[in-house]
Amino acid sequence: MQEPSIPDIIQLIPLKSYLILSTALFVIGILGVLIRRNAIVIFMSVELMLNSVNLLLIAFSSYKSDPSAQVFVFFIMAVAAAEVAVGLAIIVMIYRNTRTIDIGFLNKLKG
Amino acid sequence: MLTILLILIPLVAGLLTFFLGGSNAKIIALAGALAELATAVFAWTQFDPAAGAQFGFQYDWITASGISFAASVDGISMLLVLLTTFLVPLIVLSAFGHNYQNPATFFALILFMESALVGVFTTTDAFLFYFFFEVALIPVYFLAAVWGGENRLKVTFKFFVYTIFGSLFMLVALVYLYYQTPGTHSSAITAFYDLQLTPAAQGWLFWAFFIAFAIKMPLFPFHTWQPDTYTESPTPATMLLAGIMLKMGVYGLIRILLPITPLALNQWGAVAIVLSVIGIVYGSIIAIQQRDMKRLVAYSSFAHVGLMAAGVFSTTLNGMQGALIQMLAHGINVVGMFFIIDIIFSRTNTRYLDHLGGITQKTPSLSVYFMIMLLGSVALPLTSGFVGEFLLLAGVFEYNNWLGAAAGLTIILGAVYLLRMFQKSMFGATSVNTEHFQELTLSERAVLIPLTIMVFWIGIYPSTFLEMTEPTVNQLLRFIHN
Amino acid sequence: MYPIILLSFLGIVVLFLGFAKSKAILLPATLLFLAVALVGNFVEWNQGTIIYFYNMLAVNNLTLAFNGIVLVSAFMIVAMTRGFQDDDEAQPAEYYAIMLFSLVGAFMMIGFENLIMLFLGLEILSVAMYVLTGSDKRNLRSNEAALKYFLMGAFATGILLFGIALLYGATGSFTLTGIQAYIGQGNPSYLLYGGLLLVLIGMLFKVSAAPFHFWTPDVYEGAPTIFTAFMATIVKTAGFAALFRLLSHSFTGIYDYWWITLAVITVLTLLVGNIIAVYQDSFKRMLAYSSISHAGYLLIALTAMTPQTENSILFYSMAYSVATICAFGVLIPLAREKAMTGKPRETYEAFNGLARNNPLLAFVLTVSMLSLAGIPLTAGFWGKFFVFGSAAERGIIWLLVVAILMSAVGIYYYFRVIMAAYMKEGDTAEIRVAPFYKIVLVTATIITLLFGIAPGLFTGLV
Repeated sequence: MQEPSIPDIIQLIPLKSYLILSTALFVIGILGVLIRRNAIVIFMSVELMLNSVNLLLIAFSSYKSDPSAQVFVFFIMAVAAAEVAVGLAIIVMIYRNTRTIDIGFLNKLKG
Repeated sequence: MLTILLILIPLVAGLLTFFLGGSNAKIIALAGALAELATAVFAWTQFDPAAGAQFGFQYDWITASGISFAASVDGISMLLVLLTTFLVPLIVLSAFGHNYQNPATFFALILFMESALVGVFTTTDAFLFYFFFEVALIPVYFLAAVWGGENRLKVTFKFFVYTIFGSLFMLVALVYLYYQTPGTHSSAITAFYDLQLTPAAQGWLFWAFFIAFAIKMPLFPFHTWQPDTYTESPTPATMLLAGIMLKMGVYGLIRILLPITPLALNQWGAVAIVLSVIGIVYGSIIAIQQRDMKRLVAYSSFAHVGLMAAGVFSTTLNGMQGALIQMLAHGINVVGMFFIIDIIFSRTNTRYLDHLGGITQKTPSLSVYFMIMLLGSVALPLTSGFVGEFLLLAGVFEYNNWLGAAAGLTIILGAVYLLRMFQKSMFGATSVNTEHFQELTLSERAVLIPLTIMVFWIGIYPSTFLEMTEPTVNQLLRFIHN
Repeated sequence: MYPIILLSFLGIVVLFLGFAKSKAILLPATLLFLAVALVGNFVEWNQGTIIYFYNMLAVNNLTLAFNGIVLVSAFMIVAMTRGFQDDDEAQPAEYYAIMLFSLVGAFMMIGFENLIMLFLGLEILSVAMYVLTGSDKRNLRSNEAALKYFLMGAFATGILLFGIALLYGATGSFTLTGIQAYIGQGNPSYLLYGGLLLVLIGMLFKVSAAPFHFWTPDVYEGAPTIFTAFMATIVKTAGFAALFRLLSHSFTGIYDYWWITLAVITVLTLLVGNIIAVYQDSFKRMLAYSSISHAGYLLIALTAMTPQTENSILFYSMAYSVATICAFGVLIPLAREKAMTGKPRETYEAFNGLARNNPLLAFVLTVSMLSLAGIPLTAGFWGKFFVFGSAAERGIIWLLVVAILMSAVGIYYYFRVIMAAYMKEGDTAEIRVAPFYKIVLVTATIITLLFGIAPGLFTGLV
């Protein structure tokens, strides 16, 4: 018996479901950014947003039989990794200076 | 070609004054201003009133956009150029008696201002007009803000923001008009005349222009910057403001507002005239209550310009011609009066009427000059103010009798506050301040004598100037009424 | 295309130069590299539109001109960075390299033909800016600014990406022409509208348009001033070039759908930027709000989207960048001294008596403020003029009226600075400025005045 190809497996689920799932993940990410006070958690929420995009792109890609979105996903993953490196460095730098990563304590700048 | 010279001479003279001035700044500035006057008089001798716009100059400025550096002189421009070039040397001369700090900068700014003013009065390109209109503001702002009185910062700031705010409306209107012109667009003022605009568009354009010019003049209710600014500015700046810059507003009404939005005039002209007339009465009444001479003349100037605007909005030949000749006369009178107030202030350190008195006994000559300027302002027959006010009132009467009657109050009220000022400062017993009042110096006489000559010239033989402007005005009116 | 390759490579060279004993070579080397890139940029001038890397990147006169603005701005800013040498903590080689790399991102944004390039360019530029913002490591204000910038930037990227994914879902393509072709077929899917909206939000975050502007004042204030200048000019220019490219190449077919959204955002941006700027005491914060307001003016041109728009944006970006560099350039020597709290002198009072202390700086400051306020005889005036012109051509008069009112408000806060410099008495401590620094400021001032008097010189170029 031949193994079903990955696009076939992906297409077992209707496109609309992918759309709803990734939108839900995306909204959860947005809410996380807006509500949480801990820099790391906010950061994780951003990652969640990015991954919801990845999921969506893969789903579209399979349904359209077009590889370009999968290439895009690789780019997103690579860039997100670079961003994580810089982001964590900034958070570590702040932790060294203030011993906290709660953004509520960041009030040196008025506004 | 003459036009470009007229714009460039003061600019170059200003730069020379600024860089080479030093202790001789005032001499260089005076020489520059006189050279400019000579050029203007020469242009006047060559000027043919019937020939329309002359001495044209055109240079493509922003080639792709059809914006060019274009200027020429017609009757109305000629009159205002003469006024400007006549007054500036006197204004420079009037500053000789003072020791202003940084004289090089001070006199250079006056000359830059002259260049911008001549630019406003001669340009035939709408954007260039806006450009000069704005640029004229900068030197006078610095003059007032650096060399002004105690409250200068607040006051000049208000003045600056107010007038820039107004001219921004004009900018919107000009940009809009520019994009209405056919083809690759043109910003020549005459191209704007030829546009077939809907009444609705003309309506808002009318107000956009009106606000810009009304703030500059100023008309009621946009006048609140004016008395403070006039009072706080050093006298040369006040003279520039009242004598010439105010005319930019009236000129704008004639050159831009009326011909571009003639249809809106039927709809809104009445409102504009009523505002002007309110300004006349309001300004006069407040002037009566003033005790500071400079403030008093500021309010009187506000009242007079209201009458000019009313005459312009009446769009009659009399009203227009009156406004033009009155611009000339008012420029001369108001500069004379501010100068006399400055003389009094420099000798007594006060401008308050209650602290003055009896100056006639000390310097009869000053009080004679003062009287002549006053009578010119009050519009006594045979003095400069008479012709203008007479024609203006005739124009407003043609428009509407009631408004004419209200505007006529200006003569009566004007006589009240001006003569009261004269009586309080010149007659009566001398006060502590005026006891040691000194005779006029040579340079002061050099300012007052030309002004006096002009007061009588305009009063006795106004045709010199009226004939110069009449063909242009007639042409304009024919255009507006069609 | 050449500057992308050149700067990627030369950036690495700068990093290696950092190993040299003397740090003195870094600044001239970086300037030289920028000059090389500038020359390389204009090699392709007037050769029409060239497409590179399998439809990833386009080069034409417009993109080259934007590249030129970015490069010249960068050149001026780098030339003003002498301060690094005094600071032991600083790592100049890294800073210069990061600046060069970030320019590569800017070029990619300016010339992108594929949304992948837009994303990559944006990220290269942004990540570099996060690092530079936090480069003053011991300073809490810099730390805080970096974190805020980073979190908000990453957040905006997420939104942008989701928008791109939706656009892809609707059109099946990441290329500008593909999207345009899809819209040309008519009857676009709702995914397209949602995608466009999210992409717009993501981009507007980056160019700090209201209501997505809230990070701007804090980040601008906290970042080291030299990098604030970098952010305010290069990121904004590249951001608007990208927005223009996106909207004009792909979405003109559904103009009726997005113009009103953009118009509302424009009005909000103008109101927020100008009105809040009035209430600022800190010059740097004022400039942050002023940069928001200038984003508003640029958005007017985008909203109108007429054939004039590209030139309007180009001229406005140039005028704004040059004037902003001057403004920050004057602030840097004035604010140098630091109080105990690590708070430099950045209020308006810092300018008191500047005209007497250092007339040259005062003059430069005045011209830049006049230009930002849009007073005639400065380049800023023509920038506003062209922008307002495109709105008038489209006939959106109400937008113009708001813009006019707000530029009048703008005059108020810009003039406060001039007044402080000229009319207030201040301390008499002499302000020393290096000759090279002076040359940069004077050149920028001359550019502002030159294009203010003869804007045709610039508009004739493109």
